[in-house]
Amino acid sequence: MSLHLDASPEELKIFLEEAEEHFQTLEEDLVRMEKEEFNEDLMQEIFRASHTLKGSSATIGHNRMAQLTHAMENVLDKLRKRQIEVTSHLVDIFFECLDCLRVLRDEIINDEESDLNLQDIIAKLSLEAESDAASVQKEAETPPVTGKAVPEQNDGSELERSAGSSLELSWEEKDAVQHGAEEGAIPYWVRIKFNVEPEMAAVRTFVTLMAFGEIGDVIISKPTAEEIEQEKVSDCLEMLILSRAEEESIKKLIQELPDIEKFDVSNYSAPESSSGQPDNIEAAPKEVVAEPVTKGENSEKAGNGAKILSAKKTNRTVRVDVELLDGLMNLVGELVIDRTRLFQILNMMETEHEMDDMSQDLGRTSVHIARVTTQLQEHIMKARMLPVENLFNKFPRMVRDLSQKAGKEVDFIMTGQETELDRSIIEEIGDPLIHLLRNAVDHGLELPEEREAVGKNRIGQLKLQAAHEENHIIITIKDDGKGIDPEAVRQSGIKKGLVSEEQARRLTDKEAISLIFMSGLSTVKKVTDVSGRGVGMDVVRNNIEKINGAIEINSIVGKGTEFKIKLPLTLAIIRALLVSIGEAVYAIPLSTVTETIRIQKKQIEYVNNHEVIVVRGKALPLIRLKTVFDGSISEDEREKLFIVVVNLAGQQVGLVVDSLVGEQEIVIKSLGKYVGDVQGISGATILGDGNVALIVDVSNLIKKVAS
Amino acid sequence: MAKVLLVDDAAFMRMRCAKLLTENGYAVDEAENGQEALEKYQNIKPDLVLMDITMPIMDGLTAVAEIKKVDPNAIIVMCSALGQQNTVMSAIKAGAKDFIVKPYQPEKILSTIKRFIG
Repeated sequence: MSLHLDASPEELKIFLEEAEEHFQTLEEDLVRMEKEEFNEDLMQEIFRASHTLKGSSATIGHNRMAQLTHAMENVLDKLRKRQIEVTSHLVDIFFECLDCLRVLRDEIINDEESDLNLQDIIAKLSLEAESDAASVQKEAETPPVTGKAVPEQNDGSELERSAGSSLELSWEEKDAVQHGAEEGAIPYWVRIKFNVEPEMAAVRTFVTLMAFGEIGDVIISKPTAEEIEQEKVSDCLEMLILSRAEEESIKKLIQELPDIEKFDVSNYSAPESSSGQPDNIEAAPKEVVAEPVTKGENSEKAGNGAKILSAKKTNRTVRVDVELLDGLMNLVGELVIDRTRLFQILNMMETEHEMDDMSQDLGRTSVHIARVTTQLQEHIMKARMLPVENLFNKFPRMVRDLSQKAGKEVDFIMTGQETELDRSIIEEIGDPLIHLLRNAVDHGLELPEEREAVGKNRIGQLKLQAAHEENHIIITIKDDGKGIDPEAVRQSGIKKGLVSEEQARRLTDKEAISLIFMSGLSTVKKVTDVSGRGVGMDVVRNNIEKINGAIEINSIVGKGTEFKIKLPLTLAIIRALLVSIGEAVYAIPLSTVTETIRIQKKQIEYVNNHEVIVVRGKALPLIRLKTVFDGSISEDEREKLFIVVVNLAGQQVGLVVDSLVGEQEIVIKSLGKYVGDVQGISGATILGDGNVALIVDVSNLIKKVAS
Repeated sequence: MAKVLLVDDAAFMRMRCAKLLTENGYAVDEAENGQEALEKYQNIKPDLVLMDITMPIMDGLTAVAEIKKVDPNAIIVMCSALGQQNTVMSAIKAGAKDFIVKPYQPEKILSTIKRFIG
């Protein structure tokens, strides 16, 4: 069912943007509210977010959102006044509210009502709101005398009673009337029946009373000003005023006042004339219709003013479809290829031909095009960047929920949220990060009692950090928990048949710990519903490597664990080392390359029939790319070999290649569906000379060695 | 042309209200909070202020008191939501002339403004 909201698309856009901001505020602040000492500013901020949502949603006519936020506000109001205390149960309820609000927001986006039922959550909220015994009692003691509380007395019958009957004048007041009359003021009985929300009756009565104060002296009123302040009001107001104004102008004043259903004005000296005559009660105009403004200079000017104002307010941003950005990136990729190609042609011209004026001109233009291309590439990459904040924002709540479930106390610290990453990388990195955070809370950090027993602070620390480092983004997840025991991982690896006992013994501690990235390994004895099923870490690693990232782990038993994720700034263009194998050129992502070495063929040794070389005292397994890609066992005649040492997740492998071609920026192209998945190849690129180079899938090769 | 200063922290509410008012021939200026309202009040001397209550930095109630200090004749109409009657009452006592309850009905905003500044 569609919602029938009362707002233009443009208004809805602003509404949605603001709503999203408020959701974020709530999300962050609710976590803080639970964790920190009572902080009035924080409470006000939460209250404001909910309050503004209420006002705005009511205005567009999204009643369910208004209902929910109203219920939230009632509880928040008591919280900020410290009438009730923050409990984690309460915070849970608020988070549930937040989830509901997001569903309601989606209703607006989809223009379709969801089947979300708000009754439960609203009931929970009102239960919380009533949890302060004091306020319940207070309400019971002084029931607000509103129109709703005593409806029968207030349905207008009072107005029809004789004017003087309900108000008794004291002698002082009679004297005042007498005195005023001598000076030319006329005493009037005014009786008004309001048509106002019962909640606002007191204020409306007060404002009305004040309005009369401006045209005369209010001698007496029922309810009195004090009673109004104490909210002892009904929906009627009676008063005796002394005014020099004509009866007609008093009536006119009343007609202009808002929220008045009926009224009656009569001269006090002649109460009989109006008593008991309902005809005298004039219905107040239902609504004052605004006069249409004369179209012309006036309204035009107003329009202009608003335009200037809104131009000033407008955010200097434009929303762009992601597909468009992807398309732009692709085109820039083509340009990058052509740039490389141009330079190659230029080089050839320089070396093989005399450079005449024209070709020099061509050279200069090419340099300029190259520079512009580089800038264009940078700008488009920037346009695709988002602060990781968007991703990080949901983590505090997740960590909170997890730690609560696991019975742990966690101090979750995030830094570097402003660090920017390509949006496609942000999309890919979310799941791995969630997994690592879960692991840290579930397995890394100990229970408060355990921590105390080993002399640590009860509260575990979990840090999530993003930072820019050269051409990479480094995301670190660090906990001060129990760390990973390399011995346990070794044993587990042996038991699961991932490594032999012999192999396990020879692994360094760091290599042993890195075994957790292999599928089927989990050192956790107990499987929780969160993590520990042994799938996960390998998926984490695969996801990260899929986007040309790398993950590294450092762990010290008893001190904690640190995961370091290194991510490229963008997915589409990477720096690569070009190598040749036979006739073909291959590209190896530079992010994985640690070094290149030249060896003599005779340096190759054999371990279990596998080729290895010893580099700085350590055995480095070799992979001959020729064998992998040609399928042929190469009868390599060369005496000297080039080895490209690649490193992923702490595992090193040497790739044997024929020669090194050079370093270059390459644009990654997928192989396409018809080619499908090729072992050891992650994609292709077009080189400057127009040839195609295949991109080596390093993680796939390393896994090959590992198995 | 009568000038109205619109004070609300929600851009959405300002946008809607400003549209209504300009369409009806008022010059509209906007402020995001009480502080800004106070500054703008002194600069542009509006004929009337529509003042939200719950705002960051400086709330509507404080803003009423501050504006009244600068100009005792300021005409301020409070924009309140249900449940804020006490604050509205305080604002009225501090010198606000009237109030409107959210969600606003266009006629009500216009009639209220018209009553004070025509």
